[in-house]
Amino acid sequence: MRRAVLLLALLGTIAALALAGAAAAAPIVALQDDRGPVVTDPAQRTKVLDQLAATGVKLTRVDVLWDRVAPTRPKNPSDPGDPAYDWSPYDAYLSGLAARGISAIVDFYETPPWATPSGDDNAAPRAADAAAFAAALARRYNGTFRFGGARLPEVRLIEIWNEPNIRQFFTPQCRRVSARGKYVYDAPREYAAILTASYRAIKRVNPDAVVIGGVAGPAGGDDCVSADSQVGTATFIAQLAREHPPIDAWSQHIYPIGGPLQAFFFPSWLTMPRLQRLVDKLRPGLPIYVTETGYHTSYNRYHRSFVSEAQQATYLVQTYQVAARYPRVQAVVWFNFVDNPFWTGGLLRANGTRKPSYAQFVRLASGQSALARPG
Amino acid sequence: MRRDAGEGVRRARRAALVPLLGLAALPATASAAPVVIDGWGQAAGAFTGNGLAFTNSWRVAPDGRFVYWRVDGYRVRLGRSGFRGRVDHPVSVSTQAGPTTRALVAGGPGPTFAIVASGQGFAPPVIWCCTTDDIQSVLESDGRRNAPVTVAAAVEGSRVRFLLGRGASWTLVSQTGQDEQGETRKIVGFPGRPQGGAAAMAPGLVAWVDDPVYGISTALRIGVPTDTGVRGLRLRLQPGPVRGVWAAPGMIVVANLVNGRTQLARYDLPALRRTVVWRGTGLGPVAVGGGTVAAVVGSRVLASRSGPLRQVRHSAGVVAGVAASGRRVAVFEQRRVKGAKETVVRLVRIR
Repeated sequence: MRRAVLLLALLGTIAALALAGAAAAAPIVALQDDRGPVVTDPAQRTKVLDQLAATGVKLTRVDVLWDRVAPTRPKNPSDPGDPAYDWSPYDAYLSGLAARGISAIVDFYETPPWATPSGDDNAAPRAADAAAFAAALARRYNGTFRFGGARLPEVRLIEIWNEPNIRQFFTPQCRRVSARGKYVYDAPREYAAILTASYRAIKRVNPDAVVIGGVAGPAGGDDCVSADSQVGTATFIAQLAREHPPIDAWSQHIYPIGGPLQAFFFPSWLTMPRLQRLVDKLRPGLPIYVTETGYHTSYNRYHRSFVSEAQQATYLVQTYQVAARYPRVQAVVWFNFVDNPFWTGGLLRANGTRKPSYAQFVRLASGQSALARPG
Repeated sequence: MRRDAGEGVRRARRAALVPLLGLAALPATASAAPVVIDGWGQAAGAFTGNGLAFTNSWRVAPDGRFVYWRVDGYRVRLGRSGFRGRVDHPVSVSTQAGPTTRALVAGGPGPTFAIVASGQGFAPPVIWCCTTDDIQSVLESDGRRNAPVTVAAAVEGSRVRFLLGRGASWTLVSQTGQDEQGETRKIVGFPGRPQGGAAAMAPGLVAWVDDPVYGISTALRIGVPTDTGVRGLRLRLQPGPVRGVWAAPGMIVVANLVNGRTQLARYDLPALRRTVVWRGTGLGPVAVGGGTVAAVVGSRVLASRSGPLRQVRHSAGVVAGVAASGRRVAVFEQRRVKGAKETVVRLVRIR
């Protein structure tokens, strides 16, 4: 009898979980336009914002470049009103987004020269400096902060850094520990300190904020043989988990060689179950944001794999379809909106004309129901 | 996403077998240890100021689950006795847009070179490698359907020139300086419509045959590319349809189809004296450089610095490509070791 009750209870739980899964929303179809915060001319900014809004997108991602906001050291770095800070491009862009009903995931990176001995913008900062900036960012965009008589919009989704497992954005990746040339992973430990300090600082000023960690670049293999090596995603997560940083969600960047339904290298869409198991070590059931993905339509030096424009359109649709299989994936951000010479994964060519992927994206962004998760 | 330098590359542990027996009469001597890279493909190479730059264009099917194509670009320094130091792998192009084909490789000063990563179904990227910080410049990369294609390129000191177009519209592009180092680009009209595969450039030289819908398909046109256009145009009528054109400083080589056989002829500047260097069938890859013509016919590699081509190597496997400069010929041979496909790059010295 007792067994029967337990079995019934178990079946009930399974049924409830299945219903919850069936009812879960598809991942949000999001799009980043890296021109947004860079444009200074108000008319041009309006045009850029209108272009983004015309896609029907309701969520975007904004890179806040710390060294541009704080070219000199603030006296009170956690105060967003410190005169050393220049938030003007972000105030204008985020306000423009809010006016068009578009929410933002905000990340910050690029270390100011004053915050690191080397002066390099990819040098890992002191955790306390990064956390103070994170607090200023969270406070400025907590929805109540007023500037110039206007209330600035709220940003709830905050990513800590960008691709800290890749040398281009975070050094050192590895640290030499012996005269014989032995290196050990360094970036995960340094990043854990930044994530921990930033998490606490952000929650103090906006308890409702969702602090997204990882923001891991799509590195597959490990090669810790010099300070310039990169830390593969799997190792990065495992090493980070040892430090037990607080975290609300994991962010992963995915750029597969091969279509979303073809590529089986890690990290890719077909290896999402493995990614989920790995991030469970940080916190079981941790939600996942894919804050960069895409397919390039011509070769560029930062992304050496490309497809045809027609394939890009097909793979874009498949990306969102395959993402919908994974209820833990909250949003998928296509990067980038418009091509530039160094990044050719846009929906628009550099001259502003539309690639075939544009129409597919608009269809998906404006009709989220088409992506309902399988029940 | 860059593959780590040196990945897929290794130096052969054993020295090349010196082809002493039966080859004593041939005008060649074997060189030091070859270089080995993974995979079979269509190879191309060019000697640079201090080494050899080469490419392998190949099909990749990871676990047989899907297919993509690559053009991998390598470089290795040369010493007196052969290859020296590690093989660098600075360029790696991957695509699903269409199959890659044999790339064009143009050598430049020092270790620099340019690659035209050719293929079917996409306009080939033009890549200039590399700055002193090892950063590559992408000179051309256009994903549009019917984008203009690059059919020839040359490195002239600190400038790369390339011939770009499609249909009736062709331009000569000149870029000085690499990305973010004060690059300047000049684009001028080109006085022709080159046939695919029948155009070549070298420093101070462009040679091509026009598409039959536009001009005479048996007329080789030769000129000097400048930032204001092509100067000093000259014309040499050919004995038959042109199947290929190659160029190096001071010389042009043309392959014609004559009475069902291929005829390979060299033109030496400044007089453009024509010398037929080979006649036959089954012509494979051809390379020119430093006054030398090299060609692959079946598993034989032929070369000469003047006059008829002579055999300089007989390979046991497929010869995937060849490069030439003066007394040096690089031969790209395919072999299988314990089931694994490898391409062996050998250096052959000719007399």
